Amino acid sequence: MNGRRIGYLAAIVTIAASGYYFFVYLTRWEWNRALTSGVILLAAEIALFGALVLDRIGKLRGSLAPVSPGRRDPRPQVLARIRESAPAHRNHFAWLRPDSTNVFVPVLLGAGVVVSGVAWLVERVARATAGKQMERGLALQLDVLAPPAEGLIVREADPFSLFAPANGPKAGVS
Amino acid sequence: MKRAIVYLVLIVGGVFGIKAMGDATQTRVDERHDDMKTEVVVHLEGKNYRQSLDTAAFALWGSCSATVGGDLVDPGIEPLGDGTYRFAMTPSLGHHGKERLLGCLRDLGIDRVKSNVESVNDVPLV
Repeated sequence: MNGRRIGYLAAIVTIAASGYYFFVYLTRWEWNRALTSGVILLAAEIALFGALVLDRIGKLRGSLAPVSPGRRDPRPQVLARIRESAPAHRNHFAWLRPDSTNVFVPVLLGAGVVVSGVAWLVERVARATAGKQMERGLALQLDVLAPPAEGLIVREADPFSLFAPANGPKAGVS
Repeated sequence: MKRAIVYLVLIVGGVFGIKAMGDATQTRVDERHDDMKTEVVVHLEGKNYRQSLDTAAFALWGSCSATVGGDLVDPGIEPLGDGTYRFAMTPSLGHHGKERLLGCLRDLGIDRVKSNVESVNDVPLV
């Protein structure tokens, strides 16, 4: 007899005895004793009910558990059936098979990569060469807007020539 | 049919059981005699009771006197020594009255006092 059965037996004996004395004390008009027996009766009933419910819950949990905690190796029949019903292996790179002609997308992807690389190379070369050439062209175009090299005022050799008469030499001056 | 018989037996048993419990726990008319008295001898034991046992005897009588009608016969609560007390009531108590009174006396109604009814006798009132 295990501990659980001993506990159940003790609870049942307690319920029976306290229930018997509950009525005995009632018939003897001993209310305090009857109340005490009633409290013991209720406590034993609650304990027994709780133990039964917990036991039932434990059994339900055990029945719902997929694998018992103590079991390490699966049953071979179950394992074989699972392997039989497993889906066929899927080849995710079937399009790479040599006998397959459905290679348009990968070729397109590969061509895109190559074209992107070429474009990157062209852009680098252009940045290194075309910029300087365009700067030279722009500087030449802006040359027409530059002021004359000798300046806008013509310098005379004789600064007093401005005071000379416009039509021949004046009288009295020799 | 068998189930009906079982139900009938259970119902009849329940009715008689409830009636028996009612007779045992409810107040019923008793046969009492005016020329008789019911003499009760009680033994008291106190555990950390801070007063004398005489006080406990009076407290016990005061607590249980309401369960029965009648008068306390002189000389009242009489100490017989060693925690034993005797008192008598008239008219004499009937069966149900004795059950109520003795149940109250034995019921640990006074804190720290344990009482034990030693004898209950119906004797002529002199």
